[in-house]
Amino acid sequence: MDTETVVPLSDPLAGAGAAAAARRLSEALRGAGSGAPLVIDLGEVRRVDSFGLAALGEAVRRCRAEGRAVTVRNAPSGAGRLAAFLRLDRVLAADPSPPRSRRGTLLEAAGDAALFGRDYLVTLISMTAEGYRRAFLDALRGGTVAAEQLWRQLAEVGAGAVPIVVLINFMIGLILAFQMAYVLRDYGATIYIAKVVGISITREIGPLLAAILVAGRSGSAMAAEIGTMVVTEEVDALQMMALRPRRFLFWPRFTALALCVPALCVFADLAGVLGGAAVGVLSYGIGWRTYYAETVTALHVSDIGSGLLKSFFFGNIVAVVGCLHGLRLRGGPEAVGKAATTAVVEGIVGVILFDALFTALVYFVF
Amino acid sequence: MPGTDGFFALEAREITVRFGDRTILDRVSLRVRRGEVFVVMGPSGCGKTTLLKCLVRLMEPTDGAVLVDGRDVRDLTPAESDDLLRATGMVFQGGALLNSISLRENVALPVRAHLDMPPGLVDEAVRMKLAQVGLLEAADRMPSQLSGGMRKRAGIARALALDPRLLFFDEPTSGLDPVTSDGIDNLVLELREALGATMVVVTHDLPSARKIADRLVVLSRGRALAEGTWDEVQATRDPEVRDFLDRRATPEAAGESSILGAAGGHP
Repeated sequence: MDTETVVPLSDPLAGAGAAAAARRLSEALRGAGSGAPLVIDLGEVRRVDSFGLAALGEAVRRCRAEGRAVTVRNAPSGAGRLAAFLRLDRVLAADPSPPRSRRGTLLEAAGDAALFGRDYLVTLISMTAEGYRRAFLDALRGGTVAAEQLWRQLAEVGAGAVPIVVLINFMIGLILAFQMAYVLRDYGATIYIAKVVGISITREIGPLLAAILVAGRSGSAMAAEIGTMVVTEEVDALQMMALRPRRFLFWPRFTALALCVPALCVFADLAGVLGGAAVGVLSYGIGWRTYYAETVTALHVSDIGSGLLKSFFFGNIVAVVGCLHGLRLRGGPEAVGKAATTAVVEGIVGVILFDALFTALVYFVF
Repeated sequence: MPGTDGFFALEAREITVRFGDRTILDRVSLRVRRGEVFVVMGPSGCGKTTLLKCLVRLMEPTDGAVLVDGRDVRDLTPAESDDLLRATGMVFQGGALLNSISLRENVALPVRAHLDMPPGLVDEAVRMKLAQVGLLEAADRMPSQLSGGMRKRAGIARALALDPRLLFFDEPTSGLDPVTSDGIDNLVLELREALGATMVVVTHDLPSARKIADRLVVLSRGRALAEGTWDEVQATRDPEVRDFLDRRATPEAAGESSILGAAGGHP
């Protein structure tokens, strides 16, 4: 039991040689009788680098854990200097296992999530309320700085989104018309394409797609832009210049989206109906005039109006979610990407959730 | 006293950098001997950082050559170039840690990417590098949870990860308090002793330069004005060098006024 195990290590105890030494040492430790002292002989070693030292450190640590005596013999002077420099003693004295994050029970986690969810919802609602109470009035009152911000947002979020909204909705109008015609032509009722496309676009698809596109384009941009400003302390700087960050960052975006999403919805409606008309006229020989007349008779003011009303709320949701995830960002640059992703996902989910509630409410109440 | 093979560890020959008609560096030459701490000093905007970028090949000079161990870096094969990068450590001004991974993972990254080491050995080596810069206890923190000084030291630990023989520092002491700065200076000197690495330090911190430099070069408005040991540079009569050194010693720069007095170079 007391016969010591001598492990001579070969030169160089560096680079790949260090990895080989680590393997030799761990084999020797497995082979040695329990409790037999380990002697590491560095007689042949001329060159040691920090990985060689790490191999020694690892062996020493394992011996200590097993209660086995360990000595290092014939160490070259360079190794001693390097060991002192790299604070090897302190490393070996420290606990090697990384600190575990505290894990609670499932119940605790559920409780935390519920509390967080409640706080989060309260924040969302209070921010929306703040938008209604303050942002619109502030925009009306003007003031150069606020006005500049609002114009910038209107241009970026609204005007910038027109081409993509028109393109996508025109294509969706086309697709919808083709799919409907597939069913309707069996009954010789292709004339109803106008009605079906008109109603589904204005009541549902136009506002929804406009909102989803804005969430993808601008909701993420808001979270990323404001989040970056939080990281680089620009938000703190605004606060110190007595420019309330909420007023400077959130209010113009809230107002801009409340105006832009309905406006984009109008473009979406027009483009969608036009897409349907293109199919009706070019593929199914319905005259332009007839298609127009069919559409106008089919559509009521309430169809278009309910779509526009919805898109106003959609704009609120995307703005609040986007700005909130920017403003509440904690941590460094790595958090910015996550905030942008969350803003898009929650923006879209929020819009569709609200749409479902709104549609159900309208259906049952009116 | 170049290396035993007759070559300098690092040599710059007439480096010139121009952006449009602005000349940032004007025929700057320097020779760094093996195992020494070489300091590039000069006021803000003198081209220090540009020179450093040329030396580490983050930037291609408009004109001139960089030689490592006597070989022009442009003549290296891609494989040799990779080997040189692995043997080179760079400490960036703000640490330049990857923000999405922990401190421990930051230091382990180059090791895991370049060396085939068992995981236990990597862990042990990373712990040593972190202990070396006094960050062992902070190993599992994310970079955003570190103070500026800690980030700088973490950057050093990462630069040390592969036991480099050539080590570059960009303003290692800027933005640090005097005590922490002194700690970084000591670290540089310890590194020279323990690793025998060649180090190039870019700084405008006079006391730090005086403490660590074996030799230094003073840069001003894109030109190298004086090269030599601290005493040799102090003895230079070049009016621009004197200007740089003395301006810092004028009473208006209150915080720095004692520095040159202590350096013994005050007229």
